[in-house]
Amino acid sequence: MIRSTLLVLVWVGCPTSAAAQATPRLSLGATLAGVRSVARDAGGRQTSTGISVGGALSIRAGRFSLTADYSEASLRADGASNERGLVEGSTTAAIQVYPWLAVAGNVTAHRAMEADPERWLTWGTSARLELPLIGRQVTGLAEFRQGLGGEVNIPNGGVRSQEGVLGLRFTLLESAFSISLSSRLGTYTAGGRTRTLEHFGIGVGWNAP
Amino acid sequence: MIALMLRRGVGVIALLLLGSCPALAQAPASFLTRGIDAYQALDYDGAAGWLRRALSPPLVEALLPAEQVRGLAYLGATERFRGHVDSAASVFRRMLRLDPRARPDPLIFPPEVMRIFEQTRTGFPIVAISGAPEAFLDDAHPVYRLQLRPSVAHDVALTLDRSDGRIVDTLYAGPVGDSLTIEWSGRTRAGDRVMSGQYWFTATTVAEGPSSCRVRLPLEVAVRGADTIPRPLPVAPRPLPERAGAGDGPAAFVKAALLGSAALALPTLARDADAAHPRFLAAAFGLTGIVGYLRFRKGAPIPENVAANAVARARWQHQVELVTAENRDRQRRGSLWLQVSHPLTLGCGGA
Repeated sequence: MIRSTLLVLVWVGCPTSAAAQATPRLSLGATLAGVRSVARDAGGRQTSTGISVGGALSIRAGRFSLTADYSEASLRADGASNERGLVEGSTTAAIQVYPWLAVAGNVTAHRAMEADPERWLTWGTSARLELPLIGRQVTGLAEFRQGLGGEVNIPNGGVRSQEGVLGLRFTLLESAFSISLSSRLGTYTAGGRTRTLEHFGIGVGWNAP
Repeated sequence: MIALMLRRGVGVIALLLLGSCPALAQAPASFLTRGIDAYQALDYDGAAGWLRRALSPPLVEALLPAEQVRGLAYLGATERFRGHVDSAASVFRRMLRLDPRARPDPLIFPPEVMRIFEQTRTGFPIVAISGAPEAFLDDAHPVYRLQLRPSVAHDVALTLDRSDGRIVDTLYAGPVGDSLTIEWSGRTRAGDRVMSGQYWFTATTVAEGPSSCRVRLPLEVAVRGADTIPRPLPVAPRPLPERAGAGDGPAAFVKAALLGSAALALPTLARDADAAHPRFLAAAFGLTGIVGYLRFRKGAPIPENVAANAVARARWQHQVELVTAENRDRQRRGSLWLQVSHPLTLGCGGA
């Protein structure tokens, strides 16, 4: 993991003339989403639902960007009365290959506050498409993340993960603010246990002019 | 009478003989000396012959201006004593054209000569312009000084003219008494630095009558150290299309359809996924595709592109204004190299 992190840092920090000359630009975002978590193992399947609130910070310099996001959710299992927490965070270092395509390396972590808390840490690569659908006012987003490895605090024979994100972003003409509608689905498998996390919600974003 | 004829004849023969001598032909100063000697010997005809020859082309070109002035003073006095008053006045006008401040020496010439000269001078207003033959105008040397020296106090207009005759600026208009120093900052009437090229300083005597003179001082200007920056290129070399093309609507629909299909396929990532939300999103993509298709039908205006182009144009124009101002400032700060030549006198009646 350390080696992968170093590789990502070297990749992000690798100077190019364009990046060196670009002025960093800041973006902030906040999300409110419905969350559905499904934990499956040999003993059966448990589904929890709730609401998550989160935020994201992104810095872009030329073709390079670095994004960190964090969210917290309170989930209630089917048939249960008590709520459990879910904390998620990720860091993404991306390079814009084309105006509509970015590739990235990312590290994702989440912790489910259950009777026996699970702490998942995965890392991998991703590709993100941004396609203008109605000018630049409405943009379609699609992202797929493929896990390359990970760690989890349960007996496992290796961590596998995949994640997909689809969304629509609405930007007012010449405005720094945007509203987005997105659906995110992630699946994490280790040692016969699979956790599926689904988010569907809205977000607001602000791009520094 | 016979003696006079003999004397004239001898003088003419002597002039012809000397004129054919190459050594003397190359030494007009010696003609001048002989003429002055003849004047002092009261041989006025001989003096007139020697002096006119020395002061006529091509020999006169070998004489210094001060020598010419001296010779003209003796020639004017000679003509006076020969009884040719008009010729004397004409010679004195020529002397004043050469140097408006020149005067016959009253210790050498008698009052009757000085009287004719003064009469000529007061009726012949002309001004001399002089300045350093070469000069730089920059921050350390902000002005170029010109001196106006008139033959007699009178009104003068001093202008800077282009080679095509158009006036760049009027530097002075008013009376000039003994002498006057005019300072020129190297700028036009609008306050801009003059461009490289040929100019004239023109001093025009403001006086009625045929004796009104113009004196022009040729000026060559070279702008140095004022490299300007190029005009910026437009921010976007190709502006965004302001009307939709034939393929824009279908392209929007196809992109939305692809994303909608991806949304429908998203639940296949996980066994336990719920397909409801992705379906909702797929419907939103479908609706967006339809709106995009209708919005971008061929020829439909694209307001966001119009606005973006307007913003890009405004930014570019702002940059152009900045560059123009910077270039104007650089031109103002750049140094000018000035070179002036000998003055020319024009339009003096009776000279």
